[in-house]
Amino acid sequence: MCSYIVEKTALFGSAKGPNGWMRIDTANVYFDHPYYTPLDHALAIDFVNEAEGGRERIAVELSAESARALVAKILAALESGEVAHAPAHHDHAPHDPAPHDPVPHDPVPLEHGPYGHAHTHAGPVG
Amino acid sequence: MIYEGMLAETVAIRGHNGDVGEAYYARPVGPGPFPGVVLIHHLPGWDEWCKEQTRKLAHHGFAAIDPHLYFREGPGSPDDVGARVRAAGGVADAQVMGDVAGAAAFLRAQPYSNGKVAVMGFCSGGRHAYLAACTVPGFDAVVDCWGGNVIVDDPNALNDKRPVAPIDLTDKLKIPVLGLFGNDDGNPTADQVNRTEAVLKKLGKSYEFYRYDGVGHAFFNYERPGFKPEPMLEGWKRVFTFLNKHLATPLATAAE
Repeated sequence: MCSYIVEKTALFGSAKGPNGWMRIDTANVYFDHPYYTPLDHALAIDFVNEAEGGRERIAVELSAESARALVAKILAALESGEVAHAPAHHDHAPHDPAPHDPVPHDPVPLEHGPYGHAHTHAGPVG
Repeated sequence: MIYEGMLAETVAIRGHNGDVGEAYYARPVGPGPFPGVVLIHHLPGWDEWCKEQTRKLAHHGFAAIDPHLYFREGPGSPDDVGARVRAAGGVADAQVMGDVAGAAAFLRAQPYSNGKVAVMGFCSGGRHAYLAACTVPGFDAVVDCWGGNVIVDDPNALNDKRPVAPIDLTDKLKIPVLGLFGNDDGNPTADQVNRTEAVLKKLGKSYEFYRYDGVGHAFFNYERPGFKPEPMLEGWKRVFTFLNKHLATPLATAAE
């Protein structure tokens, strides 16, 4: 579409590129002419760390069909994984914010070791 | 034997606000005189395909320059730089026009220039070419290859970076226009192309529009499934006929 339309979402996580692992805090998502993929339009996601200037990115370009299939698989994996890893009712994991608590917790538990630092805008990990 | 030669290289140009950026420059080897073309890359960026089109123009006798519109977000590979520009909302029209004017000045400053320069662009570059034809003085012809958003139907699409729809500046356009479009394109749509033509016609502008059935966006681009060999070949023929007509060396023209 030759547009500059970008959907931005804040996130918490890491991505691995040519320079190794990097912390990412933002995904820029758009559907437009791809740079590399032989399609007229592709769903592109650029994972960046805006807090550190956003100069480096981990990028993917997917067909619309692949992107939709991926979304479905992400949701399916989350659903089955969360069921499999669900804590017992009496035993909240330290990184699991209480469901009734509207204030996002610092999502970085000790188990994340060297990657841990204050991060307040993202949802829980686990 | 006919000798063919070309020099293609990265050069530095002075663009908007005097900023020094890079451009891909290809020209025939020889004394000239050569007409010039400023070729504006498409939205994904200053990529290999656009540089190939620059060399194609040189192969056909033009000194052609493709300014890197995203250089200010460098250094970095053209795709990464393009992604940064996109995340920042794109490039401002005023900045692009300054860079295009700088590229044209580079062409005219070469000793082998015949003094004639066209502006041409693909996709968003087609829109930029149309805008340059309306706002940057000195061009002799313009080629718009499927430039989208020349007509802006949604006023919310206008913003600080792109404050005016190019179609609304058409009264300032003083040079001949060549337009190539696919009738199945979503941006510009066939209806938008018709409306652009209606404005050009109403204002008495010199233009040639060619539309291709069964063809969508970017049909010159062999890296995309929308590539159509026959319309591409016919389209390039239109481009070279048009450029040769309007960029002919003045002395040669006078001698005919």
